[in-house]
Amino acid sequence: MSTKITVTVNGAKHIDKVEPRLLLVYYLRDVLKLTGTHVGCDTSSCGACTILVDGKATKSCTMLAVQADKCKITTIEGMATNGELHPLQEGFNQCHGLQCGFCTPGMIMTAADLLKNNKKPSEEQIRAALEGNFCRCTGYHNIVKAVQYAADKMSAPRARKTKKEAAL
Amino acid sequence: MIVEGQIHGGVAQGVGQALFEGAEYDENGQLTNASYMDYCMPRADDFPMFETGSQVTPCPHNPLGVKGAGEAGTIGSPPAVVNAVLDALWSGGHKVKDIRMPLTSERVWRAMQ
Repeated sequence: MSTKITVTVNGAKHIDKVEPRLLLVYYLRDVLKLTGTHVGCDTSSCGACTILVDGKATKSCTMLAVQADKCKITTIEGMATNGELHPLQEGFNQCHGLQCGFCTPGMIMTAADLLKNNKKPSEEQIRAALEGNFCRCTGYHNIVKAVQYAADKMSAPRARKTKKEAAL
Repeated sequence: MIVEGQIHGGVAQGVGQALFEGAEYDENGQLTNASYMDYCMPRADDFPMFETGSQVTPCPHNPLGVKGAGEAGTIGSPPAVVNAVLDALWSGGHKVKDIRMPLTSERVWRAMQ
């Protein structure tokens, strides 16, 4: 038995027939071939599978695809716009916020939810927000710095940013 | 930057070993903490920001003078953390000489009895 679902993923509408038992992360990875979302522990402990469902950071390994019917989903593939990295992606790049990179998509999606609700988070608030995402490589230090980098960039006035970009 | 990042990770792994992480088996040899639901991994809010420093000495045993660096953090942090706990116990009047990692609250409490 299959159920028809309609989901908008990274701005594109998808209508698919899925098994009711199919987990959302496997729908994204196996059906839509969006393999940027990772499966780490399969028990919603590690956060590698985090995506945005209607703007809210959600662990997609413990949500069924049918539950996402009529939802708007953003995955790591939807973060960059027109070939330009999202400030969070740029932050992870600039601050050496990853080593093996397995946790990175989940970290970025969780941080995106944080920055949407808190433009200027303190170090403590960043660490609290990321406590559902495991990282075995970085000790979290540079991940926190990457999120601070993105927060600074996203809150910087547009004019100043353009001037700085022009100076480079 | 890469070396510092590796040392941060190494320190975090060492602190994890010292305070939280351990494979626990029952009397039948069954691993009882085989998933992240039971195994304690250090999280972002378990750490402060790290400060690193280095003493740069070329390795004399190879022509390039290179050596591994990342594991330095893993080697240094468990004794630092365990010694800090022992020091805290001693200053509290508990003359504990040996305590096994990971220093869970239960183990620290038992050591104090």
